[in-house]
Amino acid sequence: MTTNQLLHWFQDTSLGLFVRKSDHLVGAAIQVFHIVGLILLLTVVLVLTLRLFGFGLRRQSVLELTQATAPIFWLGYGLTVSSGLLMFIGNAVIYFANPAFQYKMNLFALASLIQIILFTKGFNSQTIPQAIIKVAALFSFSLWLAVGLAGRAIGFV
Amino acid sequence: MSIFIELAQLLYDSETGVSIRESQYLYPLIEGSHLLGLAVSSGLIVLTDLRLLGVFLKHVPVADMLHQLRIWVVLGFIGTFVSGGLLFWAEAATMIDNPAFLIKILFVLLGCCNALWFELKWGRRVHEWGEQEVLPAAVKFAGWASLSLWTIVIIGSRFIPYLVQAPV
Repeated sequence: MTTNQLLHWFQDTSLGLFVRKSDHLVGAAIQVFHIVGLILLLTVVLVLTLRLFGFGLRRQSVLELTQATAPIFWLGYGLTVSSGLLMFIGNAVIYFANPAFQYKMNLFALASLIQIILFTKGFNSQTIPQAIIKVAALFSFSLWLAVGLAGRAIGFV
Repeated sequence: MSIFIELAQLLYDSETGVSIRESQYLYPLIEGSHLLGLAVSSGLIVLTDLRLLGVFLKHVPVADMLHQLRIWVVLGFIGTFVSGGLLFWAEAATMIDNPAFLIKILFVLLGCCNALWFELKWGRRVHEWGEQEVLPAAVKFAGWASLSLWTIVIIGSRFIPYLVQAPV
Protein backbone atom coordinates (compact mmCIF):
# COMPACT_ATOMS: atom_id res chain seq x y z
CA MET A 1 0.00 0.00 0.00
CA THR A 2 1.51 3.33 -1.02
CA THR A 3 1.37 6.39 1.25
CA ASN A 4 -1.21 7.93 -1.02
CA GLN A 5 -3.47 4.89 -0.84
CA LEU A 6 -3.09 4.88 2.92
CA LEU A 7 -4.09 8.56 3.12
CA HIS A 8 -7.12 7.92 0.91
CA TRP A 9 -8.09 4.96 3.05
CA PHE A 10 -7.78 7.19 6.15
CA GLN A 11 -10.03 9.92 4.87
CA ASP A 12 -12.57 7.46 3.50
CA THR A 13 -13.10 5.72 6.82
CA SER A 14 -16.47 6.50 8.37
CA LEU A 15 -14.83 8.94 10.80
CA GLY A 16 -12.99 10.68 7.95
CA LEU A 17 -16.18 10.95 5.92
CA PHE A 18 -18.06 12.23 8.94
CA VAL A 19 -15.54 15.04 9.50
CA ARG A 20 -15.31 15.97 5.83
CA LYS A 21 -19.04 15.95 5.19
CA SER A 22 -20.07 17.69 8.40
CA ASP A 23 -21.04 21.34 8.62
CA HIS A 24 -18.13 23.79 8.52
CA LEU A 25 -19.07 24.96 12.02
CA VAL A 26 -18.18 21.46 13.27
CA GLY A 27 -14.73 22.09 11.78
CA ALA A 28 -14.56 25.41 13.59
CA ALA A 29 -15.51 23.72 16.88
CA ILE A 30 -12.73 21.15 16.43
CA GLN A 31 -10.32 24.04 15.82
CA VAL A 32 -11.42 25.72 19.05
CA PHE A 33 -10.36 22.59 20.96
CA HIS A 34 -7.11 22.55 18.99
CA ILE A 35 -6.33 26.14 20.00
CA VAL A 36 -7.39 25.73 23.63
CA GLY A 37 -5.09 22.71 23.83
CA LEU A 38 -2.22 24.69 22.33
CA ILE A 39 -2.79 27.52 24.81
CA LEU A 40 -2.70 25.14 27.77
CA LEU A 41 0.46 23.34 26.72
CA LEU A 42 2.25 26.49 25.61
CA THR A 43 1.47 28.21 28.91
CA VAL A 44 2.96 25.37 30.92
CA VAL A 45 6.11 25.43 28.79
CA LEU A 46 6.29 29.21 29.24
CA VAL A 47 5.82 29.09 33.03
CA LEU A 48 8.49 26.42 33.42
CA THR A 49 10.90 28.34 31.18
CA LEU A 50 10.27 31.57 33.11
CA ARG A 51 10.87 29.72 36.37
CA LEU A 52 14.12 28.16 35.14
CA PHE A 53 15.43 31.60 34.23
CA GLY A 54 14.21 33.08 37.52
CA PHE A 55 11.63 35.39 35.92
CA GLY A 56 8.55 34.09 37.70
CA LEU A 57 7.28 32.02 40.66
CA ARG A 58 10.78 32.03 42.15
CA ARG A 59 9.66 30.77 45.55
CA GLN A 60 8.60 27.41 44.11
CA SER A 61 11.18 24.84 43.18
CA VAL A 62 11.36 23.79 39.54
CA LEU A 63 10.43 20.27 40.59
CA GLU A 64 7.35 21.49 42.46
CA LEU A 65 6.18 23.54 39.47
CA THR A 66 6.84 20.68 37.08
CA GLN A 67 4.68 18.33 39.12
CA ALA A 68 1.89 20.89 39.47
CA THR A 69 1.82 21.86 35.80
CA ALA A 70 2.39 18.46 34.18
CA PRO A 71 -1.34 17.49 34.27
CA ILE A 72 -2.26 20.76 32.53
CA PHE A 73 0.44 20.16 29.93
CA TRP A 74 -0.86 16.67 29.20
CA LEU A 75 -4.45 17.87 29.11
CA GLY A 76 -3.46 20.48 26.50
CA TYR A 77 -1.35 17.97 24.63
CA GLY A 78 -4.19 15.45 24.54
CA LEU A 79 -6.64 18.09 23.31
CA THR A 80 -4.39 19.32 20.49
CA VAL A 81 -3.41 15.83 19.36
CA SER A 82 -6.93 14.40 19.38
CA SER A 83 -8.51 17.43 17.69
CA GLY A 84 -5.58 17.55 15.23
CA LEU A 85 -6.09 13.88 14.36
CA LEU A 86 -9.79 14.54 13.74
CA MET A 87 -8.95 17.39 11.35
CA PHE A 88 -6.29 15.30 9.63
CA ILE A 89 -8.45 12.23 9.13
CA GLY A 90 -11.10 14.33 7.39
CA ASN A 91 -8.68 15.66 4.75
CA ALA A 92 -5.58 13.49 5.02
CA VAL A 93 -4.54 13.78 1.35
CA ILE A 94 -4.66 17.58 1.29
CA TYR A 95 -2.94 18.02 4.66
CA PHE A 96 -0.17 15.57 3.89
CA ALA A 97 0.74 17.44 0.71
CA ASN A 98 0.77 20.84 2.45
CA PRO A 99 4.39 22.05 3.03
CA ALA A 100 3.43 24.03 6.15
CA PHE A 101 1.79 20.90 7.56
CA GLN A 102 4.96 18.88 6.93
CA TYR A 103 7.11 21.51 8.66
CA LYS A 104 4.67 21.62 11.51
CA MET A 105 4.68 17.85 12.03
CA ASN A 106 8.49 17.70 12.03
CA LEU A 107 8.70 20.59 14.51
CA PHE A 108 5.95 18.97 16.57
CA ALA A 109 7.77 15.64 16.74
CA LEU A 110 11.00 17.33 17.84
CA ALA A 111 9.24 19.59 20.36
CA SER A 112 7.35 16.63 21.84
CA LEU A 113 10.52 14.59 22.16
CA ILE A 114 12.44 17.36 23.94
CA GLN A 115 9.49 18.19 26.17
CA ILE A 116 9.03 14.57 27.24
CA ILE A 117 12.74 14.26 28.01
CA LEU A 118 12.58 17.50 30.03
CA PHE A 119 9.54 16.30 31.96
CA THR A 120 10.86 12.84 32.71
CA LYS A 121 14.62 13.38 33.04
CA GLY A 122 15.50 17.08 32.83
CA PHE A 123 13.56 19.17 35.31
CA ASN A 124 14.12 16.87 38.28
CA SER A 125 17.70 15.92 37.49
CA GLN A 126 20.42 16.51 40.06
CA THR A 127 23.25 15.66 37.69
CA ILE A 128 22.52 17.54 34.46
CA PRO A 129 23.98 21.10 34.66
CA GLN A 130 21.35 23.85 35.00
CA ALA A 131 22.73 25.66 31.96
CA ILE A 132 21.95 22.71 29.69
CA ILE A 133 18.42 22.40 31.06
CA LYS A 134 17.88 26.14 30.57
CA VAL A 135 19.03 26.02 26.96
CA ALA A 136 16.88 22.94 26.32
CA ALA A 137 13.84 24.61 27.88
CA LEU A 138 14.29 27.78 25.84
CA PHE A 139 14.79 25.72 22.70
CA SER A 140 11.67 23.71 23.40
CA PHE A 141 9.63 26.89 24.04
CA SER A 142 10.81 28.33 20.69
CA LEU A 143 9.95 25.05 18.98
CA TRP A 144 6.40 25.15 20.34
CA LEU A 145 6.03 28.73 19.10
CA ALA A 146 7.26 27.57 15.69
CA VAL A 147 4.74 24.71 15.75
CA GLY A 148 1.99 27.28 16.35
CA LEU A 149 3.22 29.54 13.54
CA ALA A 150 3.59 26.66 11.09
CA GLY A 151 0.10 25.49 12.05
CA ARG A 152 -1.27 28.94 11.37
CA ALA A 153 0.48 28.88 7.99
CA ILE A 154 -1.30 25.69 6.85
CA GLY A 155 -4.32 27.67 5.76
CA PHE A 156 -2.22 30.08 3.71
CA VAL A 157 -0.12 27.77 1.50
CA MET B 1 -24.04 51.99 13.01
CA SER B 2 -23.48 53.42 9.54
CA ILE B 3 -20.71 55.72 10.76
CA PHE B 4 -18.85 52.62 12.03
CA ILE B 5 -19.37 50.90 8.70
CA GLU B 6 -18.03 53.93 6.84
CA LEU B 7 -15.01 54.17 9.13
CA ALA B 8 -14.35 50.46 8.69
CA GLN B 9 -14.58 50.87 4.92
CA LEU B 10 -12.07 53.76 5.09
CA LEU B 11 -9.62 51.60 7.03
CA TYR B 12 -10.22 48.68 4.68
CA ASP B 13 -9.50 50.83 1.60
CA SER B 14 -6.52 52.66 3.13
CA GLU B 15 -3.07 52.01 1.75
CA THR B 16 -1.94 50.24 4.93
CA GLY B 17 -5.09 48.14 5.06
CA VAL B 18 -4.72 47.01 1.46
CA SER B 19 -0.99 46.28 1.72
CA ILE B 20 -1.41 44.13 4.87
CA ARG B 21 -4.32 42.26 3.33
CA GLU B 22 -2.54 41.56 0.09
CA SER B 23 0.95 40.77 1.37
CA GLN B 24 1.95 37.16 1.08
CA TYR B 25 3.94 36.86 4.31
CA LEU B 26 2.98 39.81 6.51
CA TYR B 27 -0.66 38.84 6.94
CA PRO B 28 -0.03 35.22 8.01
CA LEU B 29 2.82 36.40 10.25
CA ILE B 30 0.57 38.93 11.99
CA GLU B 31 -2.07 36.23 12.42
CA GLY B 32 0.60 33.95 13.86
CA SER B 33 1.73 36.59 16.36
CA HIS B 34 -1.89 37.20 17.27
CA LEU B 35 -2.29 33.51 18.11
CA LEU B 36 0.98 33.28 20.05
CA GLY B 37 0.36 36.53 21.97
CA LEU B 38 -3.05 35.18 22.89
CA ALA B 39 -1.59 31.86 23.98
CA VAL B 40 0.89 33.61 26.29
CA SER B 41 -1.52 36.11 27.85
CA SER B 42 -4.69 34.07 28.12
CA GLY B 43 -2.76 30.94 29.04
CA LEU B 44 -1.18 32.66 32.03
CA ILE B 45 -4.58 34.14 32.90
CA VAL B 46 -6.06 30.63 32.89
CA LEU B 47 -3.34 29.44 35.31
CA THR B 48 -4.04 32.44 37.57
CA ASP B 49 -7.79 31.75 37.42
CA LEU B 50 -7.23 28.10 38.34
CA ARG B 51 -5.18 29.30 41.33
CA LEU B 52 -8.02 31.62 42.40
CA LEU B 53 -10.43 28.69 42.14
CA GLY B 54 -8.09 26.66 44.34
CA VAL B 55 -7.57 23.81 41.90
CA PHE B 56 -3.97 24.57 40.91
CA LEU B 57 -0.74 25.42 42.82
CA LYS B 58 -2.70 25.75 46.04
CA HIS B 59 0.45 26.27 48.11
CA VAL B 60 1.70 29.14 45.94
CA PRO B 61 0.68 32.49 47.49
CA VAL B 62 -1.83 34.28 45.24
CA ALA B 63 0.33 37.42 45.46
CA ASP B 64 3.21 35.57 43.76
CA MET B 65 0.97 34.42 40.92
CA LEU B 66 -0.46 37.91 40.41
CA HIS B 67 2.73 39.93 40.68
CA GLN B 68 5.37 37.72 39.10
CA LEU B 69 3.29 36.70 36.11
CA ARG B 70 1.76 40.12 35.49
CA ILE B 71 4.49 41.49 33.23
CA TRP B 72 4.22 38.45 30.93
CA VAL B 73 0.45 38.64 30.80
CA VAL B 74 0.69 42.34 29.90
CA LEU B 75 3.41 41.77 27.27
CA GLY B 76 1.39 38.97 25.67
CA PHE B 77 -1.73 41.10 25.76
CA ILE B 78 0.04 44.05 24.10
CA GLY B 79 1.28 41.72 21.34
CA THR B 80 -2.23 40.34 20.85
CA PHE B 81 -3.78 43.81 20.90
CA VAL B 82 -1.33 45.34 18.40
CA SER B 83 -1.49 42.38 15.98
CA GLY B 84 -5.28 42.31 16.37
CA GLY B 85 -5.44 46.02 15.54
CA LEU B 86 -3.40 45.45 12.37
CA LEU B 87 -5.62 42.53 11.36
CA PHE B 88 -8.69 44.70 11.89
CA TRP B 89 -7.11 47.44 9.79
CA ALA B 90 -6.76 44.98 6.93
CA GLU B 91 -10.18 43.36 7.31
CA ALA B 92 -12.27 46.11 8.89
CA ALA B 93 -15.02 46.15 6.26
CA THR B 94 -15.68 42.40 6.54
CA MET B 95 -15.33 42.39 10.36
CA ILE B 96 -17.67 45.21 11.29
CA ASP B 97 -20.81 43.22 10.45
CA ASN B 98 -19.42 39.82 11.44
CA PRO B 99 -21.44 38.51 14.41
CA ALA B 100 -18.54 36.37 15.70
CA PHE B 101 -16.20 39.37 15.66
CA LEU B 102 -18.69 41.64 17.42
CA ILE B 103 -19.38 39.06 20.12
CA LYS B 104 -15.66 38.57 20.54
CA ILE B 105 -15.00 42.30 21.01
CA LEU B 106 -17.87 42.53 23.50
CA PHE B 107 -16.38 39.70 25.56
CA VAL B 108 -12.86 41.19 25.33
CA LEU B 109 -14.32 44.34 26.91
CA LEU B 110 -16.14 42.30 29.56
CA GLY B 111 -12.94 40.35 30.28
CA CYS B 112 -11.01 43.60 30.69
CA CYS B 113 -13.72 45.03 32.99
CA ASN B 114 -13.61 41.89 35.12
CA ALA B 115 -9.80 42.07 35.35
CA LEU B 116 -9.91 45.77 36.23
CA TRP B 117 -12.62 45.24 38.85
CA PHE B 118 -10.66 42.36 40.37
CA GLU B 119 -7.43 44.38 40.45
CA LEU B 120 -9.01 47.46 42.05
CA LYS B 121 -11.24 45.63 44.51
CA TRP B 122 -9.08 42.60 45.41
CA GLY B 123 -5.70 42.57 43.69
CA ARG B 124 -4.45 45.68 45.49
CA ARG B 125 -4.98 44.13 48.92
CA VAL B 126 -4.03 40.58 48.02
CA HIS B 127 -1.87 40.38 51.15
CA GLU B 128 -5.00 40.56 53.33
CA TRP B 129 -6.63 37.48 51.80
CA GLY B 130 -4.07 35.76 49.55
CA GLU B 131 -2.78 33.33 52.17
CA GLN B 132 -6.19 32.10 53.32
CA GLU B 133 -6.98 28.41 52.94
CA VAL B 134 -10.37 29.20 51.35
CA LEU B 135 -10.40 32.32 49.20
CA PRO B 136 -13.27 34.85 49.37
CA ALA B 137 -16.30 33.94 47.26
CA ALA B 138 -15.97 37.14 45.20
CA VAL B 139 -12.40 36.18 44.27
CA LYS B 140 -13.55 32.77 43.08
CA PHE B 141 -16.32 34.45 41.15
CA ALA B 142 -13.77 36.67 39.40
CA GLY B 143 -11.78 33.52 38.54
CA TRP B 144 -14.82 31.78 37.06
CA ALA B 145 -15.84 34.94 35.21
CA SER B 146 -12.36 35.35 33.74
CA LEU B 147 -12.19 31.69 32.64
CA SER B 148 -15.62 31.87 30.97
CA LEU B 149 -15.18 35.29 29.35
CA TRP B 150 -11.78 34.54 27.78
CA THR B 151 -13.01 31.11 26.63
CA ILE B 152 -15.89 32.78 24.81
CA VAL B 153 -13.40 35.26 23.30
CA ILE B 154 -11.36 32.35 21.88
CA ILE B 155 -14.45 30.55 20.57
CA GLY B 156 -15.75 33.77 19.00
CA SER B 157 -12.38 34.41 17.36
CA ARG B 158 -12.16 30.98 15.81
CA PHE B 159 -15.63 31.37 14.31
CA ILE B 160 -14.82 34.74 12.67
CA PRO B 161 -13.68 33.36 9.29
CA TYR B 162 -16.73 31.11 9.10
CA LEU B 163 -19.21 33.95 9.49
CA VAL B 164 -17.69 36.50 7.09
CA GLN B 165 -20.32 38.17 4.93
CA ALA B 166 -19.52 38.77 1.27
CA PRO B 167 -16.91 41.59 1.07
CA VAL B 168 -18.20 44.96 -0.07
